[in-house]
Amino acid sequence: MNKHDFYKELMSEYSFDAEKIKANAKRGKFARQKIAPLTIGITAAVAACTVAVGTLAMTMIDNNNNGVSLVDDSSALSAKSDTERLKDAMARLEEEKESSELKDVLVTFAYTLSPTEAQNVLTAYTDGSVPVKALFFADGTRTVSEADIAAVFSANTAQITGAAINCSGIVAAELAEDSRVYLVENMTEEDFENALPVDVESLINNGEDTTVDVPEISDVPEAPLEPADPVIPSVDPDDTTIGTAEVTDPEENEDPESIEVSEDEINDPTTSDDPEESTTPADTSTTPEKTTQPSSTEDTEQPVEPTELTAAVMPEGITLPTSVEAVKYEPMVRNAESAFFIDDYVMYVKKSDGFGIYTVSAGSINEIDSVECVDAVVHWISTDGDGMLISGKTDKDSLRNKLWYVSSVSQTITDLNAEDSVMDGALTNVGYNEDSKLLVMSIKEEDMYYLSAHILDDNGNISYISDPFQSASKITLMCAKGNTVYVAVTDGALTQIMACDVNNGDTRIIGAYDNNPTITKNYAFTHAVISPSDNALTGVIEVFDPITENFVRTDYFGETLYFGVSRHCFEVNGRFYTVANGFIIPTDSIAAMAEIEYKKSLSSVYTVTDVRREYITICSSVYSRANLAAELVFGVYSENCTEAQKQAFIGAVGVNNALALGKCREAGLTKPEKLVSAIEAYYSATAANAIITDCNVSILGALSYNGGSLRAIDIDDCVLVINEQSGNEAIGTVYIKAGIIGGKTAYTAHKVTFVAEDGMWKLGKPIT
Amino acid sequence: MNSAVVNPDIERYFDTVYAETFDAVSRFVVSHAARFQDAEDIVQNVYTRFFKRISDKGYDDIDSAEAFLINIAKFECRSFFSGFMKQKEKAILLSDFSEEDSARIEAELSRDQKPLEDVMSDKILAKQIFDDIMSSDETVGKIFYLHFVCDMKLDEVADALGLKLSTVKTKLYRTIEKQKKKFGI
Repeated sequence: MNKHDFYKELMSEYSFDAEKIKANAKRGKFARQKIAPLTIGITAAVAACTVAVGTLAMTMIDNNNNGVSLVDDSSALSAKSDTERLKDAMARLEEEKESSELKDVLVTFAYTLSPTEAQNVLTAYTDGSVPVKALFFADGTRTVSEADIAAVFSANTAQITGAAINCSGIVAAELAEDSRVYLVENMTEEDFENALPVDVESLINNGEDTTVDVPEISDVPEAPLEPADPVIPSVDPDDTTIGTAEVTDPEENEDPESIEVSEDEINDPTTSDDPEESTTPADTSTTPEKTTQPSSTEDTEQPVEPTELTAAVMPEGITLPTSVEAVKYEPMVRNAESAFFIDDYVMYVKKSDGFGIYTVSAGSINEIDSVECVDAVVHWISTDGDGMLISGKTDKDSLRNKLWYVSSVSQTITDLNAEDSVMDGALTNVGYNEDSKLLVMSIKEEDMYYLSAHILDDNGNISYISDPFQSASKITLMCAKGNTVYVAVTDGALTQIMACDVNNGDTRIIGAYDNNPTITKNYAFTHAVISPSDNALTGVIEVFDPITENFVRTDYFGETLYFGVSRHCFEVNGRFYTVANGFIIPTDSIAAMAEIEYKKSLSSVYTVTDVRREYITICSSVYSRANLAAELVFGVYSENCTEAQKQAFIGAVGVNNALALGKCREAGLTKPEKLVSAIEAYYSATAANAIITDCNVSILGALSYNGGSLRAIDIDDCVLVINEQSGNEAIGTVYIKAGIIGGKTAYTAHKVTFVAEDGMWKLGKPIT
Repeated sequence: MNSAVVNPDIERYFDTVYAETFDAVSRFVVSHAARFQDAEDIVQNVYTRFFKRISDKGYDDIDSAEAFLINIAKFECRSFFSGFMKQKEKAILLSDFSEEDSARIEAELSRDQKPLEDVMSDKILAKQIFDDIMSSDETVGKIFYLHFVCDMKLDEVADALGLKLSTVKTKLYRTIEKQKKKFGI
């Protein structure tokens, strides 16, 4: 035996017990994992401070200059105005942005930060530690004491406006680019006693700088309000805890379409749902304040009309149809629990034994495809309804390990074989960002949480990237940007927000909260909502913006923010907002409302209004093309027309409907001359000719006509408002009720003119 | 999983695949596991998952059992250690062994030495020698396994472990020289 063979036999014999491995595999025995859990905790903050302070002490000892890089005393910050400081700092940063020489710098934060937040900012561009030489507080005080600085980071209750640190020009330049940092300036020895962080608000208000940029996001509505009117409140100086009411589905829809599976359910599949994380709910009940058209308050003055004007009366035997039978179908789908349309004629139905997609047309319903599973949960819906991601369980005793991609375009349901990634664990949530095509599964197996990253294309093809992150602490999906996924890692009362690159697994901490905030993602996986916990007494709801990595504070505490399928718009308390470039901007865009009320808007034809005992009630969509083309308006309108004008209008609507609905004969207009007489009774000569031409009304021979360009109108939905009247002419607007949008009644507005002919009011043009 | 009701056909298939793929799977795991000490557990998990999978869903859809197992192994290697493991280690440029020394040691490895058979028979001593290899840094055990058991050339071992060839040689030869002095082999 030579040494080569000796080592071969030695390593073969003792490295692996092949027979034991085979036997254990057949018995289903897994080896116990020896994994060190991710360590998080406030001690990390103290440790960083301790390291930093220690380094400070060493610096002070070593260079006998108290660690201060000497700069010309005439450059003392305290000797300059804030404006001068701003200009000087910009110039210095540019000069020194590639310098590795260590200098003392004063970092002014863009807004007040907690010690943990300040630490995260200051260490974001170093190896995790940075010497902190002074801290500046919101009350105008400061500390340069080593012990006090350590105590500040340990207690984590102070409100910090700035910090003096020692770093290189490279780090200083990177810090200056951080959205949480307003300014980074070189310091002198004198500045430790006399300088303060610049007055950020004053500089902004004086126009020396603007922190508000035009939003670059293409989804931003066309006419947002000026950024000078953001929702962002002043910082709460007492804000050391954060938590909000958990985002849940509204009462209007009792079926939460997308929830995160609870740990209890993962451990015991027979328990009922107890969602710990839910995506923003599917529907809204809101009252937008802004209207797109003037309200009726301008139109209440009663016109004065010539007393002899009346309205035509149809002879006996003619009953014009003034009402329109609303579209209403009630098909039965066995085991249906909830439903909504994802395309004009394609409906998604959740059932007790799975889910399916159906086509609906003129009341008939056909199943396209369906899946049998238990507890189907929707994790993502594209903004146009083209795609959905749904997870489920094979049976009630199994763990959640199935994931399907539903395409309304190809009308298919594709099994993504998630069980190959989930293996013996369970899906706790799924996030999909349509912009980057990044699909992230959050998996729990035994006592560990994992992320599994994939690419999902528009055809439902999935390809594996990596398992970039894992932890023994609970992981909550937040959002994604490019190849970066953002998650919350919770250990006890502390939650750290981490950014993880799915390609190489690099992670960095970008924020931390204590007091167990509730964190939820939106369907689009573009933002997360961080809300104070149920038992929190203070704190505000924040929206995380991954584009700027800002935690944008709102004015809200216990409210619920609804994103629907929108990438960047949400509704709260009847108000609509857009998240753009780290700011929250009010919006009154119908498009934004449509994305938030996606269950009403993904189809321009139908909407599901109720599901009861397996019967699905389907009505016309309020987001119809006709309504959107006519431009929806919101307001409270009151009729102010005369009785004669009203009767004339009713008659005109009746004629209009008889033609549009093809009900002339039914109405008693059995001959062409009767039809023409009816048209001419309620429409001026000009208008009557237009209608006769448009509808191809025959004036001789047998009754013959079509609907032309007319649209049926229900008189009960109309509010006739006269805007002006002089002599024998009146101009007004008829507001036709379209439906409920954002909790308010929406109308389409149509100009109407009345002319007096033959002693009667008549419409001067067809109703369009 | 109740092994008492295993389909004999499944078991036969598993046994065949196990015999055919064990070397490849163990080589992969040793190359990619963070620690050599975890390799055996990882290999066990790989085959346990595989057995469960074929028991639950059969194996008709598995074109290549080896590729399938390697995919599982990828997941297990990453799961078995906290965080994402960077495969590349810092390269340490060592120059303890000249070309001449390397040739000498390689020649020694090929020379028959009768006492080695006795050493191998002495289970206690053999285990001590094995443990001594394992007590070195993380990569030494991997280098020994990949080179001697998997018959990989040293440059192939270096590639697999993300090390420089000189580093691999130094770690291997230094351990062999050390053991020669320590155990007289």
